[in-house]
Amino acid sequence: MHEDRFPGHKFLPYLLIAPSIAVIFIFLIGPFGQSIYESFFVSTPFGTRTIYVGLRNYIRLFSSPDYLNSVAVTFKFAAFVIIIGLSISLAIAQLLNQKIRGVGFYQVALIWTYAISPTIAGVIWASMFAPATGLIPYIISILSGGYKMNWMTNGQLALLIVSAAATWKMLGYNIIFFLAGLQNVPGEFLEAAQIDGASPWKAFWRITFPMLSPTTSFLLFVNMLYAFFQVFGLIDIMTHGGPGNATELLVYKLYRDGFIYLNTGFASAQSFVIFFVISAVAIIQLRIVTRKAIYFR
Amino acid sequence: MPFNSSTAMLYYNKDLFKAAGLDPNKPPTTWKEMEEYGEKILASGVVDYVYSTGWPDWIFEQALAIHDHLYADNDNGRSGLATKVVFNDDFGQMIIDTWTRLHNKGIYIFGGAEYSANSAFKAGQIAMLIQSTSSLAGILKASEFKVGTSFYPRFEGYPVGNSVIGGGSIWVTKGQSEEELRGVWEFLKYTGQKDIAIQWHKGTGYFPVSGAALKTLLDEGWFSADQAFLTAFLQILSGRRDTAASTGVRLGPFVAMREIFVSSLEKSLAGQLSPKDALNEAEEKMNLLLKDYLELYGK
Repeated sequence: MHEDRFPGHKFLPYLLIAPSIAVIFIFLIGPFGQSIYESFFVSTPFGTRTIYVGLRNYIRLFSSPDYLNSVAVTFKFAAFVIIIGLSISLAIAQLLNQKIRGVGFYQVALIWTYAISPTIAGVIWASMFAPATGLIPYIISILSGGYKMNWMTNGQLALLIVSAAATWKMLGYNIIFFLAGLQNVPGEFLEAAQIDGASPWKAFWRITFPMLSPTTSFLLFVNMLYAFFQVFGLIDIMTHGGPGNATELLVYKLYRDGFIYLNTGFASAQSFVIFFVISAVAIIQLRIVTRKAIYFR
Repeated sequence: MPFNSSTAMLYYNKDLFKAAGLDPNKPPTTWKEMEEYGEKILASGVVDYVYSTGWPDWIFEQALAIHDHLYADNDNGRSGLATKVVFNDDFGQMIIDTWTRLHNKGIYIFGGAEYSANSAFKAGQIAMLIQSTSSLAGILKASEFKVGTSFYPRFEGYPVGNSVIGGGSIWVTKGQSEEELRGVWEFLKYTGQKDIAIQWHKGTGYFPVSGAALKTLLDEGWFSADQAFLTAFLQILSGRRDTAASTGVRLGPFVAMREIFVSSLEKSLAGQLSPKDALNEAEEKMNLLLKDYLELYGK
């Protein structure tokens, strides 16, 4: 096969992919190997002293209620961001995919959230919900006749608010992709369905939704990575993982253990576990979703 | 080199005190009074919550130090590496019980980390704030009411210690080039200048770094013009400076220990754990950290 494609250049293909391989090795595989190695040690911050502890980091990890709590919190958070986030995005994209006046304005107005930095988004949400000075607790207090909403001492509420902020932040991205997906659904199909007397609701679920499946599966994947890895900024600004450990997502816990508490061995063990979990979920998702996706054309 | 040193004190809103029918020149001096005043202020309806604090971990350390109570063994880690924390006794329990009770009564509102509680005080949403003295200038500037400052509240009948110093100092790392060190030295001299120290103190509330700066401030009448700036000095000078407990801690994994305390306090305030269980949890986790630290750095 190779000889056919590059006659007379046996090593050319390897040479061509060498830069990518080098980058992957230097920046991904190398550090990954190192963190697996370090997960069997405890060490001082600058590595001046290391002690081999075997599986102790892992044993502590899985016997730590804080870590198990963090796993549960992460899955709740991810479920919210993925399920609620994608549903709302799809609904909004469907509304935007109509010929109405000023649709360009609405599109921009709904998409721009993605352009905000996590820090700014975090500050906006945190000040909106600030217990003593925020607008939302104020409105709720008036409407409910004095209920004092304080997410700084209410873990469930804090998790809900952080999840909502993360979902809001991702809406723009999801809407763009759903909109592009919707615009690729051939109009003839919907027209044919209409002539056959299908209700818009039925047409959506029987035609549009299945035809969107490549987009949906892509977004599922991206949103999962987002929920697991990219919400650090939001958490750091809004809650620092609190109150208690109510919003301590896995990546945030890893960051605290590794970079604030300088406990690199323990953090390395965590990163390996996260890698394992994410790979498993990703493989399952890719298997199921891509097999079921319908590719038109 | 010391640069931005502060301590914790009580800020209160004199206008709100008056509105609630309290004497604006008599701030609470004990936690018992914090509770009594709190109930009165709540009953008057001028605010929804009475007080909050910055840095909850540090405010707890203050409560121990100000009553000359140790935080960890081996003289707070000063005479040797600490092996365990010692705050989980009747006294430590009383602190967290008191705070939890005041929280449940709606007097105390948990304000989050660092300076996030300041905005509620500046906006007149709460009547009192326990915060670093370094917030003073900012609070005076942003508040449209008369601000009073006073000593950190005490528990009556317990020994006198001192409030501990917070803030920061400037460190120079080893192994810099001669040229860089010269630059660092120029910078250190600059920060130590009298005028700079005075400007820094007036602009924040941090203690001025030199005696010369302090004397100039005194001579120009700075402290009589605004007595609020005097409180921090008097509080520190009227306490003890000769015991380990009153001079702060020296603990390797302290950053992590502080966060453990905050999350335990949060659990107690949220009712997720009883105050007793929360403090037990903090003790257990902190002791493990100290043990690990000892394993790595001991001997």
